[in-house]
Amino acid sequence: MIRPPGLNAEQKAKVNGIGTNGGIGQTATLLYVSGGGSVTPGSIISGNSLRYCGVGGPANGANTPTGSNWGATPQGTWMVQGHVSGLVAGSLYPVTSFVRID
Amino acid sequence: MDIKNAQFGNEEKTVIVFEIKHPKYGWIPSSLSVGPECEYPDRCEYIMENLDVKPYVAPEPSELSVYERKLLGVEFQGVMCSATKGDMWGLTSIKDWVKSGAVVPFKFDNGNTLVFTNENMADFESVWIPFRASFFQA
Repeated sequence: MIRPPGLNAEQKAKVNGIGTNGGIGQTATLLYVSGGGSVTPGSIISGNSLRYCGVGGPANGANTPTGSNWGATPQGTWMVQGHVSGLVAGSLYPVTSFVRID
Repeated sequence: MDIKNAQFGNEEKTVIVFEIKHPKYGWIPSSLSVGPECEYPDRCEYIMENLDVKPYVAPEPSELSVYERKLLGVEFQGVMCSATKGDMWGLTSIKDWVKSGAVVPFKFDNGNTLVFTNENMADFESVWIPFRASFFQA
């Protein structure tokens, strides 16, 4: 029996959404570059309007985490998984979890 | 390929934004880097060869939020220098060091870098401080 070649590591990573470029199905914490406003689950946003983002945890555990600087701009298309609302327009951008759909 | 409405996403033409037909979600917005970092080289090639890619249109300043205007910044010696709270604290922390003679490449929150020397700091402040202060006027 002749087996067809399987996926190599890079191809598997792309399919499973793992790696620096990720792929469909990858999840990430992203910031939506839009003045205030809100995002709701299911909203679809182009990568060009998003930035990788995160928070900084204090070493002593006593204080609340703080926001970090923006990271790189992802490619592709992302769907909102979380919910953000009630921000002061013009001063804060929504940050939540996203899943890549394309 | 079902792709339409392609446009450059920045002045440098390193990003293209477009709409693509998704089998489940229909027409969706998307974006790709142009060049070797493009994650879908076949799409980039198709877009550049077959579609009329519209030029980038920067948003009008009046359409930008307060933070976006701070991030856009003010121009000094050909560099757009953002004026966020982080920039203010960073500049404050290097000011005395620069005036003592140090040469400091300062990276602003918008990603641009300006090299500060004792010779240009005063001129920079004459432009940047009024711009920063404009966000706190009643």
